[in-house]
Amino acid sequence: MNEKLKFGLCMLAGFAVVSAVWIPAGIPFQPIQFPVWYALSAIAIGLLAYTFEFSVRNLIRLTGVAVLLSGLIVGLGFSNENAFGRSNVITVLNRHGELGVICVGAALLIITGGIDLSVGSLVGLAAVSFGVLMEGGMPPLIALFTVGMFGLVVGVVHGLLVTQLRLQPFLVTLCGMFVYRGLARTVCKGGTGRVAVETAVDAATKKAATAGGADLESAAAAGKSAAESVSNSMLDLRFWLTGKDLTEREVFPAQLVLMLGLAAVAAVFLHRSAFGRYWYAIGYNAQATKYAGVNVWRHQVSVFAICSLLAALAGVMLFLYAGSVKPTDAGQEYELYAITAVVLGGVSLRGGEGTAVGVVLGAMVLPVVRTLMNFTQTPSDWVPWMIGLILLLGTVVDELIRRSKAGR
Amino acid sequence: MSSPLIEAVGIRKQFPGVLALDNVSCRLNRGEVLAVVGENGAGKSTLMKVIAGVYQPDGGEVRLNGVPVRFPTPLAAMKAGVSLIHQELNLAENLSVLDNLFLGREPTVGGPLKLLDRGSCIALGGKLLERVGLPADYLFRTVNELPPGQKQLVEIARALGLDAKLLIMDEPTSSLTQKETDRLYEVIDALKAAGVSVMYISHRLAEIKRCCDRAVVLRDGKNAGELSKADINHDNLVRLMVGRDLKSFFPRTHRADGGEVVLSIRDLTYRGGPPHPVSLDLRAGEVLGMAGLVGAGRTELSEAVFGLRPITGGSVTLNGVPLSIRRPSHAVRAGVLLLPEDRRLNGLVLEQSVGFNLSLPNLSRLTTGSVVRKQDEAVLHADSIRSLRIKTPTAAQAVGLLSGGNQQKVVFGKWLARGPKVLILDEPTRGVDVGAKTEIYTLMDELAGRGVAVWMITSDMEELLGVSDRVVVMHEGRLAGELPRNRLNEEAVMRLATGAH
Repeated sequence: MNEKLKFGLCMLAGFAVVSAVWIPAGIPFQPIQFPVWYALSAIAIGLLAYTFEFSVRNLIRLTGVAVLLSGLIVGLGFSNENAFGRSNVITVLNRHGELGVICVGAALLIITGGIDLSVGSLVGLAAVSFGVLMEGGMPPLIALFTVGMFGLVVGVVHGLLVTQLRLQPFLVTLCGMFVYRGLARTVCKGGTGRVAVETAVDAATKKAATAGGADLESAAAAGKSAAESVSNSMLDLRFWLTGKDLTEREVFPAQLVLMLGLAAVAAVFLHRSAFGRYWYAIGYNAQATKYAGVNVWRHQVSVFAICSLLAALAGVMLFLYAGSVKPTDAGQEYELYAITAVVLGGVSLRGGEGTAVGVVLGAMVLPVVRTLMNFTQTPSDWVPWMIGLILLLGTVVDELIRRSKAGR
Repeated sequence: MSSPLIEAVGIRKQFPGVLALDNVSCRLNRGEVLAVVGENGAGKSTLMKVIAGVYQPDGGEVRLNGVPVRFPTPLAAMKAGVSLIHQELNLAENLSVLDNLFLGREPTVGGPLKLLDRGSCIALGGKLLERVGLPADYLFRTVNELPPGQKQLVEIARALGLDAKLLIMDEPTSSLTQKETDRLYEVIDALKAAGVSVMYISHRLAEIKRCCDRAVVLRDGKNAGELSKADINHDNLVRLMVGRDLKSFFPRTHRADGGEVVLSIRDLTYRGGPPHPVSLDLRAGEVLGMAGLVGAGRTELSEAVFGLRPITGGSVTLNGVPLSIRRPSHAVRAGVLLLPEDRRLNGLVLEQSVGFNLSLPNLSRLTTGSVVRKQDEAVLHADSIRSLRIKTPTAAQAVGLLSGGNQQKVVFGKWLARGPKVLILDEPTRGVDVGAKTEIYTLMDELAGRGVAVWMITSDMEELLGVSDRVVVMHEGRLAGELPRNRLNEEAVMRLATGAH
């Protein structure tokens, strides 16, 4: 088929899918965030479809996770009559989005044959740091940028340690896991204290207020308006990133849209660009890739950097979404959830295999499982082991399907 | 006459989409060495694996001493005395030779405690090593310290420990030096004298002549014929293998003399290399053969020029311009390209498709803003597959599923699209069947005709003498000498290679 025609059709399909959800659900087109989300999700879905290669091999890889997800969603429908209610769907999709952002980075890294165990700690550190920077009076966008840059630097350091000193990624990021968790507690002075959106807003307000002029009245007035602008831009950012409005109600799964956008970019890189080719080649056989004249280490470093950058972004999202985070457990075990999710989505831990669509689907499993547990009123002490078993079931089913297809 | 030791009758083996073996029969007497010959994909390895219990036949039967047998696993075959020595050796690299000899069947004492009976292990192991001509103190060496030839002898010793009656060797000499190969022949002779039979897969005609009593030729999964020892010669084998006569095995129709110097290596030293510097010139339009024993430093020199080993002194100039090569990407950009010795490890991404591999070094020319132009890519794939006559159903086929010769053509294809100036070929026809060898020689001839400087490192004497315009011989890291085509002969090369003059 003609590439341009295919592109057009996929984009149309993207808009059709999004409209088919949007219009019956009566989602508005203002304020400005809504049309942006609308367009972004439509384009992202279109790109994901366009870049996905409909080969037998790829479809087999997705069968397992698709079966598992359908089963879980049907189960969810039976568990509670409100299961597909609006607020619940938004919550599940938002959780899906948050985990998905991490999964996109983790998947790129695993495809190139790496692994990152420090993701969860980095999420925690980023969440706490963002809060602390805000409390210190830094404007939200600048704080977001700072935290993102920090993530990027951390990833570059991981990458350099792995490629230049030839340390094992497992080891480097395992150490990172301890370091960033500890740093999160140090940054948050109390050690076990917490950082919350309200305190951040209050602190920022106070700081802005005291920075006013000489006489009391004009200071108060100047301070008040400065404080308002800080607090507004914070809440604005929260709405953009998480879909929570001023009353802290989730009105839209913005995290899902953000994740779809990132996944679409990753899809273009993985399946359509020279970079993706190199990443797959490195994952399968770094040696042969080097012999082909590719600068292997630069690619490895950049993928580590992308992974950590996305983890930092997820940290900020977690802080804004949750309202308050504790340095001791914010983002804990996220790296393991992410690895499980991408493996369920058809990314091989041996490297060199996986698709962007698979990652999106794989990331959805865990949030759905958690909701299902909630609705069926599973005792909370059962949750971890049941999650473990369901994920194991998923990987086993996946492996069996792959084998039966491959064996014939 | 008693029944033969092993007999395969009417073996049929079907793989998805391929009938690998179609009514193939062969038999083997006690103490006989049988060569199984054929192009890659002819079904030699499949036949071996059926006999050794790796695969189950879909039709026909295997008879041991006249009795039909069915080995469900390779282990069952080994216990019955049929051992397969793999192309890729199956030794636990991190364990000692002793541990490997008895792996899985360690003699134990102390009943349920299963304490290793080291005394009897050592005594028995020493005897086994003696039979393959290795000294007893090798028992305590770690396997990964050993060169490939000795690993192979260890594997043979392990099979002998299982009281093997039939050893199946799949291209046993493909990674051995001449000395190691000679040693292997002696071991085979000794085994033969002791009544052990050997099935021997090889591409190398000299070897087959040297040590086999009979040759069975397979073509496209069928019996193509059988040759007795007296009839084993180059022409007969090739005729049966290919099914036609090959006119010129080493074509030299495009060669011209005395091109300009393209690549000039001056006083080069590199990390991990010999202490003395090396100088070498490559001319446009010539095939420079480089001979030497394994370990003479030929591969290492080429790796230094390709940027895989840090250069510590001297210079490399291309068409008079000094090159600064610190990474393979620098060499590739300059047009100095390498076909590595181990194509499965370094030359190809085996699990990926033919097209993926062909594109890999050429992506910079196939992208707009780093997005790959699919049409242009498809054109490149189609062109390469057609012009190199790569036998593959589509460009989407995983390259690991192709035969050795076709894999090597893919590696050529990767580089040809870049327009090489210097092409370094390290053992270009290793593991490649006869038909594809000629095609590769033709290709080298054509490239030389186009003015490419071809630098061929080879351990195959026939190839060296047949293809090269000029030969340099390395001995212990230095250039021991140079031989122009008119003074080229085997003795002269070996004299230089062994440092005797």
